[in-house]
Amino acid sequence: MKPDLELEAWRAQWQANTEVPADLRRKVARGTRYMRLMLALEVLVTVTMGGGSTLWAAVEPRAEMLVLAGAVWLFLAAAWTVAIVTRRGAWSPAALTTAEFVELSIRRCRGKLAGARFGVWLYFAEVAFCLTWLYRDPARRVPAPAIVFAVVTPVFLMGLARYRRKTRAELAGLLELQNGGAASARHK
Amino acid sequence: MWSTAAEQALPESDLAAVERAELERQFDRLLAENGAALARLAASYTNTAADRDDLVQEIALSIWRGLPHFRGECSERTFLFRIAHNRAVTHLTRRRPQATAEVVDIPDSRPNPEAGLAREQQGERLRNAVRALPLLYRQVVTLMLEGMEYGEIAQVLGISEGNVGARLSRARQMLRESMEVAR
Repeated sequence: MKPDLELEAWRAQWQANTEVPADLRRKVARGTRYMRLMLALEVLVTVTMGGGSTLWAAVEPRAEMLVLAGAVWLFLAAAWTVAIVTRRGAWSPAALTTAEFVELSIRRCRGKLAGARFGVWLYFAEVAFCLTWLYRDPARRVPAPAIVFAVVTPVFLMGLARYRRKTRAELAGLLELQNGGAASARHK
Repeated sequence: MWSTAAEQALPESDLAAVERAELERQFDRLLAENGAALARLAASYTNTAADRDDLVQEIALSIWRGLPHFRGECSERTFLFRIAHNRAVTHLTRRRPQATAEVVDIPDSRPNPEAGLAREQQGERLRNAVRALPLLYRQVVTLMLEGMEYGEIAQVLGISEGNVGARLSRARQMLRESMEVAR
């Protein structure tokens, strides 16, 4: 009897072990937990900052307080927009394959880098607003806030640079993995 | 079967415990032997990891419930796959209508992430093509890919062998076309 080669090939492909490597699976699971934690923190910041400034404006309904509350909500809205956009499609892999897990990790890295870029702009916009808002009133012209920002800003920028470097390295590794696979597939 | 003297000496509650322990052993063995095949079958009916795991759980539960009624009229594998297919179809009908064709018709041209894993891409193409098949054909194809003969497939699905042959022939043609498009 002539062997059914097509069927044999399909059976081999079908029954082949397609498990995603455990370390990649763990890494993605860790990333998902981190994203959930960040989401919880964002909700906390929104409730604290947004709610606090709104409450303050309600207790002291002066123009400057309304401006402060409005600005806080504007910054929060911008941050949420970026957070939602960068996390879209990055929560779980589309399929249970190594390719999809790598693809998801790449998407997450790109989201992190975009988030970090936006973080710099948001930070400076917030600093500019806070200092302007504070020092507009001569009664509040004390050096403490400026000193705090002067200390915090380099620390923030250094931390962010380190985070970006680490994420970029991770992204490069993942892209190499992906393209290496393509090359090996072509050579087969 | 004759019961042993020791079994005869056991009180009824102990006998039930012995039977249950025996059932548990049988259940564990069946799942250990066929777990991978059941997971593949579940994956051909679902699109996400969570959904697949849910279906595997449902299948395992149905097997556990069905096991005491297994009288050996067919092979264990046939019995298992019959339950699995029935459960998968129920799962499919209960699911929201989004996803039967989620991965379908999209040629996957993405490079494979792991060197030397070109075969995984082929496997992925095959799995996507199987998922895209209408239920009628998907059932026979998944069983055929698990290595079942026409007679066994006919027993699992409760159809004639001639019918299995006809469905398989059409299904293979559809698979070929689908995989050609995805290439």
